[in-house]
Amino acid sequence: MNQPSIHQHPHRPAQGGAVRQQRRGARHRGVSLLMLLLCAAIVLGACSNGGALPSQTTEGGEAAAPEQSGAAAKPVISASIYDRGQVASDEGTYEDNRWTRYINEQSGVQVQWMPIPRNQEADKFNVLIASEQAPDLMSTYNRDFITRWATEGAIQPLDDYIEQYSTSYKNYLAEHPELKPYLTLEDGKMYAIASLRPTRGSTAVFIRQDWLDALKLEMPASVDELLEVARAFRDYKADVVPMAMSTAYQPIVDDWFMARSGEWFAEDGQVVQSFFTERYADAMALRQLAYREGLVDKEYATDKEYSRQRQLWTTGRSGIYFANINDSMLGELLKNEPEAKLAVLPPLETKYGTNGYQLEVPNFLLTAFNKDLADPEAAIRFIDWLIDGGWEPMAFGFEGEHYELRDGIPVTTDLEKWQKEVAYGNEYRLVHQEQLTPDYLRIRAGEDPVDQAIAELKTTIIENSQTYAYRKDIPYVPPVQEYAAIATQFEAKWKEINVRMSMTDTTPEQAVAELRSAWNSLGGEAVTAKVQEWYDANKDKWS
Amino acid sequence: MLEATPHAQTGKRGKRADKLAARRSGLLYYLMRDRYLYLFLVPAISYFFLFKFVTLYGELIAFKDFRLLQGVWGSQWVGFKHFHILLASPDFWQVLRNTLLLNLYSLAVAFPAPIVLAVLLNEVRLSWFKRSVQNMLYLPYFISWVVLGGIIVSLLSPSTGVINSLLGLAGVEPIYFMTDTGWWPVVFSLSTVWQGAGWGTIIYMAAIAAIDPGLYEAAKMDGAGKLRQVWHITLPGIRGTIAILLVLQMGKMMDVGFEQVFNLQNPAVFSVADVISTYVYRTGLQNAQYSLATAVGLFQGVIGLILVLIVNKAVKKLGEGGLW
Repeated sequence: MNQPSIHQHPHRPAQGGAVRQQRRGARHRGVSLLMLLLCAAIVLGACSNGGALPSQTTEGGEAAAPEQSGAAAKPVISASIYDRGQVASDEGTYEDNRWTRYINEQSGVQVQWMPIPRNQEADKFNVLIASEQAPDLMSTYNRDFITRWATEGAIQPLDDYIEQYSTSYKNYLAEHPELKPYLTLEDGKMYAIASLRPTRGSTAVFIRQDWLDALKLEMPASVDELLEVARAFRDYKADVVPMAMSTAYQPIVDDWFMARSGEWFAEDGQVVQSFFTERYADAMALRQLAYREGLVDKEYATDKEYSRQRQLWTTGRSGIYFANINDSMLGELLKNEPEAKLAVLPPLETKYGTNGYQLEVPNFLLTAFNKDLADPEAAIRFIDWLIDGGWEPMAFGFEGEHYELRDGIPVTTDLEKWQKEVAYGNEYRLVHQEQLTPDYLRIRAGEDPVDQAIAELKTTIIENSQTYAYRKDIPYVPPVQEYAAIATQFEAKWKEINVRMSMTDTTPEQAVAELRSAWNSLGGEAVTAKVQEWYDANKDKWS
Repeated sequence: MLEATPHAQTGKRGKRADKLAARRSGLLYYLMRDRYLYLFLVPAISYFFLFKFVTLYGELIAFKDFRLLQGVWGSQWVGFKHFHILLASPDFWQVLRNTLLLNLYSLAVAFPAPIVLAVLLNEVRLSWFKRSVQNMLYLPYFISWVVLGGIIVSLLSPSTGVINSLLGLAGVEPIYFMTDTGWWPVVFSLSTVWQGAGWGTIIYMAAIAAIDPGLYEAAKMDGAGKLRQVWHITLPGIRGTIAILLVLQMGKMMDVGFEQVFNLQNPAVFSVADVISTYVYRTGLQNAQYSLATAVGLFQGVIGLILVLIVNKAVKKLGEGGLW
């Protein structure tokens, strides 16, 4: 029984001689241990140095520029880029690929790109800014961010830089004064650079024309007729879930009733959250009805990435698809079921009238300049180069390799090649001059029947967006800080109430009451008063 | 008889040790004696110093209106303003209640699970069987919650899930577990067991292995059956381990792992599934209300500390070692 206990305490032996030996051994071991630790420290140190390098260079061109004076002395700037996971591995990464190299070779500026996961831009940007690692140019579609960054002092006004350094973008802005209000904040200064969107068409509903024909049904013109069609589709074949969703489902139903969730409306000059208009209760009632009658997927609540919905649509188990103009599942369906014929659902009539589908804000990406931007001249030079035509290859690819010119319009020769090598390049065009028009779409589609069918659908969406008015009382989110402070928390609430209500027997009146109490408990009434104040002061700017 | 106590030491070293023994409570004595052992501690201590103590400085912003431009120190002091906002907000109480409830369920279900599992595994005699079962039990621990969440959602799907097909055979109507506010906490707790119980057995298995086999032999001779042996030898043998893990668990009472909740929740069960970590994510990271989010985190930490102190005391009263 004693032996084990000695073994358990070898560093405390009883005999003196053994002690000395042990101690000498220990010293040796100690020395080698120290060496080991030192080595580890050196390696770790090297690692952390390596880790620190990129962030140092992203702090601004200033630090890096002098070192690179040997190589053509190009100024260096850093910029954010949405990471949509679209860069194939043999194309490289979002930081380094054919388009980043193209930009570095052609623009006269070295740009270091910092990928921002598309669906996590809020937290990613917040963390980068708070830790002072944000890139020189920050691009987003969310105007709220621009407002917040400006009030926090994270970005700077651009008017002087454009005046001083820009020629091409300055001219572009003069030609498109409609952009100005979207780039200018309350203090009258311009905080973002942007070009026009290729099209303002956005959300859309696609419907199986071949199903309508087989059932001898008319294209629905009102919400009630759509429900009739959906019921007919449900009974048309086994296993049909008539309506497939995407993120666009709730907004589209809201838009039919002119009450987009979370947006502000002006009813007789009084601002009000969409939820508290009488129209919103009807939008909720419609979603509840669709759920109860099995017109939508019963399990949509847990289908967070909409993978079930996409599967329903692309395998031909759904006849109506709530999506948007660039949805890639149309092509998937046509590949799986070549006989499928698609049509675009026109705007539908409700008892409140007919509302068009969402008309996007006119601006494309909003690009802001970091307060620490060291070389504004280089940043402007990059923007000027892009708008001058630097953007074109990033939209079409290269002539002979990706497209042929027909009537001056680049026609993609191999769509698959374009998808893989060029599509992701679109995102690097912080500004561009591409405009989608029906002719342009038709010609660009080339000979492929699937591409042509999709181009037809897109054309219809764009035409609809131009002929039907879309009700939007306030052109952008009111930049009222009190509202920004509660918006996310309230969004979690209204999403919950909407989903729960659609799946249970809660009446629309009860649901609205719940929304009201959630809004009030966040101090919503005081917020409404603030927004009213802002509205009264600004309404003349856009109407 | 060869017990290595200081009294048994001889020679110069023994005398020096005696001298030092006079102030043996002194930290220096131990530091000198076991200096190489302490060297091993250096990486861990520097980790805790850098990433736990230094960052405490940032907690200051819970008492300030943090503005990026002015930095942590430059921002304006506002005292307990953010705590007042929190305590006045009904959302916060809901979030707090959900956090505590989910943790209580976990304490009831997920805490005993690895103990039971470890005792069962200990009784398995076929070593290849035992090992393969153990490996399979560890597996979920290494799978990320994104994947586990997806598996759980499809297992429990009312239309295509296995569970509902089985229930269907028994004549039960399909249940949409994931959107039912009654079922969701059950699913959540069981998912905790599924993911962590196997991994949790490791520490108990080690404790069981340290029990003197002589005790079992003696018990067998006295005619004790398997259950008696488990009750009178195995469980008392790992009592101390259970107590320590219980105290540690109490420190997490205010904390529900973000990954797990985030991947299992959906808007329909928000009223029972929104917890402190998701609330902090929304207010702090998404909505950039850094001060408010920090106040929540600080509140959470203080309550957790109090709980640990109380339970540690209680455990010591019961005769166990406790954490300190």
